Parts: sequence; structure tokens; C-alpha cells
Amino acid sequence: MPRCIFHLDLDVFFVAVERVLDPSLVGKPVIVSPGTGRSVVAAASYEARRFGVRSAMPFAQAQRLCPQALVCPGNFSAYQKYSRDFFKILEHYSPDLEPVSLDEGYLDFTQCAALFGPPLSAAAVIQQRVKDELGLDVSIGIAANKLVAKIASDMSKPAGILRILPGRDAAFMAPMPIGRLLGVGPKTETDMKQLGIKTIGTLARLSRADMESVFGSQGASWQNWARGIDPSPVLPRERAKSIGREETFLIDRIDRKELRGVLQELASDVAYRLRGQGFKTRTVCLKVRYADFSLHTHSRTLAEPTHWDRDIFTASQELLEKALERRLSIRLLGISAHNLADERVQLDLLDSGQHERLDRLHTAADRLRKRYGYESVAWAGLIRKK
Amino acid sequence: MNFSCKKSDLLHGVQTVFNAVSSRNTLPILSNILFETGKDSIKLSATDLEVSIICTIPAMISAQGSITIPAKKFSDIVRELPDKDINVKVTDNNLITLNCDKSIFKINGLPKDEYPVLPKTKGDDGANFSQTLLLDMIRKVIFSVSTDETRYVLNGVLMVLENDIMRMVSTDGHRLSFIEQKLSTTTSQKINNIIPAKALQELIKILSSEGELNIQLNENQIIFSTPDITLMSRLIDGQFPNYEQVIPKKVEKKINCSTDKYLSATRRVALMASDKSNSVKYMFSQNQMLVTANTPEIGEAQEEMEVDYLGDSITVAYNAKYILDVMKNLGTDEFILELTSNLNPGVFKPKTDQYNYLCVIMPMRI
Repeated sequence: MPRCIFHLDLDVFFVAVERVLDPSLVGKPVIVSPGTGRSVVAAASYEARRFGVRSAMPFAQAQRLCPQALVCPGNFSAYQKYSRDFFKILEHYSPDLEPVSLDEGYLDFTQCAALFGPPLSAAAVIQQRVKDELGLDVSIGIAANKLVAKIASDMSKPAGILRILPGRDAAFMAPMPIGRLLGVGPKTETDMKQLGIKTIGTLARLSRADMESVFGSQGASWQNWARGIDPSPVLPRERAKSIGREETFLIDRIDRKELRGVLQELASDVAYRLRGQGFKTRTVCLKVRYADFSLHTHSRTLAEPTHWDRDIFTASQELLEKALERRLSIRLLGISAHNLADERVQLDLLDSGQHERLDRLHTAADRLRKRYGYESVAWAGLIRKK
Repeated sequence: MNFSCKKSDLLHGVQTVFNAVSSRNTLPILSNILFETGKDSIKLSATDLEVSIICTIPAMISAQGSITIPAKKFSDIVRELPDKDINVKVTDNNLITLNCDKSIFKINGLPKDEYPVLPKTKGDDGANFSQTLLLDMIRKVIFSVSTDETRYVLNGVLMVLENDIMRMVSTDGHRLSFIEQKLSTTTSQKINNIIPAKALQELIKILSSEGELNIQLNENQIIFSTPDITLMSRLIDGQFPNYEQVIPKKVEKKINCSTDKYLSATRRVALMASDKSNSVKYMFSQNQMLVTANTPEIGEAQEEMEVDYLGDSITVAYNAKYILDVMKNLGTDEFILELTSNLNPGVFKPKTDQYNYLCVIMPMRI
């Protein structure tokens, strides 16, 4: 039996959430970006895209292209909330759900038709629910595998539903440019065009062996994909392998005291997220981009796994000293926690309650943050004059 | 300086002191062994400034003197020489000539004046112990020494000598081992010091199954001597944690187990414990124990085992490595496990033993 996979993608997600929160933005060009010197565009509405504004474009450039655009600084906790609610709705329709990012995911509907009716009508119900309950538009692609479903949802935008019947995959993809295939970037596209491969259909007609001899094992997968073959299953998201945060500065910094302040903020945030996900870290990694754009990383493995601000800060501070040996100002600083371990902990024999006190302190702070927001609690050293 | 000795004696001497030769290059002369002539012996010394080893070997002395010789090169040469007498001669410019059978080696040494002065023993002072007793006691506690350099007081074994009681304790913060033995004689020498694990590891290599060992203190050094070998070590300065407070006094549940079965069940089940936490769960119920372990996405294991226990059911989790270390060192067929709750330390004691010996392990949160 062919599978039935949905790819669900929220249309201009960040902008759509901003518009739900502030309906006056509807119909106007909107850019989501912190709007500071070196920031980039996180999202742009269709109206702004008409002027050539694209995601990941430097903000300054976007502003030149579309000076009348309304700028939202971005409200990530709201995006996260809407994303959670979106996936909660999807969970109702299939247990096999694979979130890809905040605003898109795959759903395996193969076994669910008996409960929710044929795929097209089920998709229409989901689309309506998302609109009614969240006020967001979702585009849905339906096909026998993830690859084709994703391309179908792309083509159905905005707010459409497109189903490719099993067996029609190859024909559906044949006229598309090869750049549509995952992993075919501008460089490979040029290489392929020089070989006369312009569309996915041409690629599909080539032999597997030829593709493999020119492009290696990746060539063989492309050839499979070009014929609409993608056996990859819909898998729930894997557990996080690392948790990290970084910050790019407005002005390059070299002052030790200032950098330490940033480090403490980053460490607290990483530790907070570790605790939130029930992890401890064994390896703390410091990422530094210097003014000359060179990227260096330093890491330290701890004697005991930890999820406390202080431990991560201390370790990263030692790493910062190493990073400062290169007497160059710093453009970006990041901390990440690797080698994550479950919280199941080895209890300490000699500890006289200090462990428990720290635990209580952090649990209390985390509860406050959940209720009143992350900024509601901070280490005294981090409180800056506004 | 000029002496002759047997190859086997020279090799024994070099190998004995070799482990104290510094591996760091901060002070180049510390990678040398110091040779000094005695009446009819040669004294070899090596030190890394923390641990020093001195070994005396029999030799025929033709000319008195001293020299320091690069340890690695010298030991490599001596090992390869044929099993005959070796003659060692030092000429004015610190050039050492080794003659053995038909081989001649010349190697550059350094004069003694730059070599650090090692602490001296004080004649007949100190206390004497049987080497086997000390060897056994050290082995039973050294495995739980901490290797975390930030907790330096835990990087050694606490040795206590008081009247006729010898006691050793070590802990890494997760587990602790304690051994106490009543001696046949009372000594006036008192010891209550932390001895670096490295020194004790070297001492284990020196100790043999017979003879006595003398222990004495000299300022911040502890000195162990057998008739031909002396090992000196700096003491760890600091306050050892209050171990008595950590050993549970009131015990609610006592479980009798076979050491071998417990060891092999743990070893098998631990194969499925996660690499990171290495946690194995033990569920005790009426005369039965169930050992389990699992790693998400990899799999799980369980094994049943009979134990001698009639109390309420209890489940505790331990790091499997800690359990295996204890089982290997108990030295008896059966042991008693004493538990209070799954958050309190468990005490492992041999069922019958010549020593007062116990190991405490802190559980893991389940």
C-alpha cells in the first residue's frame, strides 16, 4: 500500500503571528527583524517580498528596497507558543508527526484514513481548524513520500492543498528545474546544466550508474528523488544533541569585563534551557568570531555533568581567557552545551546540602521565568542600568 | 667514579627508581637518575619533586664519586646489554663509559651539584609493618581516590596510625572506602596525613609478599623504607572530609549476597547501561534481587538473582563501575549490603573478614 504523507507549512509564519497580534498589519508590507545595525531579515510578508525583500537579507538592504515596510522586532516566545499550538492540532490526526522547524512538519496519514476520512477532506479540516483556532494559514502537500509532499505544499502556497496521487510523482516533478531537489545548490546546478541536465525529468531518465560516477553517492540519491522515490520515514524529532546560544555584537568588543558580562548572560540562558529539557551537559564549548571573521572554538569537559548557570559560566570564562590570547577584538560570542546526559544524577556523598540549595534556587527561578517571562529573574551581576 | 656490578642488579635498580623520574621538562636534570657510591654499593635516586625513590644495589667500587645520567637512555641501554658484569666509569667532563662484554657505550651526564637534595630518614625512628598487610590495605582503598584535581584533598588516601590501630580512608565524593586493622604491637609513631595516590601506586610496585616496611614522617614528607628501597612523598596539605559522618550508623535493611554472583550479574547487565551515567538499578524484594539497566534507543537488560533478605522491597540505582570496583576488592565469598533508602548511601561489608573494612556508595537518583 502506498504511504500517504502530509507536509504542512504555515504561510509567512512570523508575519502571520504578528498580524494575529496586531491586525492593523494586515495587507501592509511587514518585515520581522531586530532592526539593528547588523541584523538580518527573519521574515518578510508577501507584500514586502514584491519589493525584493527576502529572508536572511541584511536589514539595511531590505530597508533600502522597501522603505515603507513596517518593522516588527520579533516576538519569539509568541512564535513558540503558536508553533506548539499548531503541532497540538496536528497530533490529533496522527501519532507519526515530525516537526522540521517552528512552522513546518510532516505527518504520516497512511493508517488514519479510516478515522478521519480521505486525505483531501482531512487536510481541508486541518486547514480550517488552524485558521479558526490560531488565525494562521497553512499550506498542505499530500503525496506518497516526504520529498514530493514538501514540493507539493510549496506549490500550493498560499493557503492551498495539493495532492499528488501515488504513481504520478515522477510526472509531477519532471518539468521542474533541478534546483528544486534537496542538496542541489547553485554550484551543482551549474555543473548539471553543463551536462545538459536542466529539469528533474532529464535527471530521472539518466542511469543511476552515470549519476553515481559523476556526483558520487549523492548523485545516486538525486536520481532516486528525481523519480519521486524517497523511502525516508516520518520520525518524531530526535533528542537534542546540543544546546547553545550566541550573540553578535553591534560593535566588536575586546574588554574582558564586558565580554564576561555577555558570557554570564549566555551561560544563564543555556543552563536554563538545559534544565527545561531535563538535560545536563558534560562539555561546554565557546565559539568566538573575531573581528577578522575567523572562527575559533574552544571546549572543556567537566568532571561532573551540570545544568547550573555558575558551572557553565565558570567553564566558559576559562575558555574566554584562552580566546583572548589572540589579541583581537571579538565580533560574536557563543556558548553551547554538548555531550548531554540525562538528569539522572549521581548523588554526592560529601555534599552538605549545598547541592540541594542550588537546586531549589534554580527551580524557583525557573518557575518565575515560566510565569513572568525569562527576563523576570536575573543574576545581580547581569542587571544593567536601562 | 668507577664501579662494576651485575646487569640484573643494575637493571633492578634503574627500573625501581625509574617511575619517579619526572616526565615534565621543567627542570631538565629531573629526567636523570642520580648515582652515588657507597662502601660496597651504589645508591640510585630519582625524583619528580613530589615522589622520590632511592634504591641501593650491591657493587664493586673502584673509585668513589657521583653523577647523574639520563634515565630513559640509560635504562634502554642496560636492558639491552648481555647478562654479564657491567663497568661504569665517569671521566672529568661528565662522560660516562659503560663496558659490558664486548659493548662500549658513552653517554653524557650532568654533575650532582644541580640535583635537588632529597629528604633524609632519621635512623631507627618510625614504625614497622608487615609489607603484605600494608599492600593489602592500600589495595582495598586506593580505587576510590578522586582524580579530580580541583578537589586535591581527595587525591590521596588518609592514613591514620594511633597506638595499635592502622586506618586508611579514601573518597572521590561519590563513594568511600574505609579499612581499619588492629596491629600486634603498639607504636609511638603517630600518623594522620593524606598521602598522594601516586606515591601509594609506586609503593604497591615496591612492596613484596615478605619482610617489613618502616614508615616515618619528616616535616611534610612521609618516608617508606624497606632494607634496599626508600620511597618518599610530599604529603597533601589540607583537611580530609569528616568521613565518620558519611558512614551510615543506623541501618534498616541488611541484605546478604554472594560476591561472585553480584559481580557477574552487574557486569552483564551493565552492558546495556548508558555510557554516560552507567547506572544500574537493583530491586530487592523477599529473598530476591532484580538487576536492570537500559539506554533509550539502544535497549535494556535484566537479571534475577537470589539474595538473603526478608525486609520491605527497595530499589536503588548505582554507577556500575563503583559496584564492580567494590566487588573486586571485598575479598570474601559473601558480603552484606546495608541500605536505608534509595537516596542514602549503601554500605558494602565483607561477611567475615580479618579487617574492619567497608565501602560506602552514594546511589544515583532514579
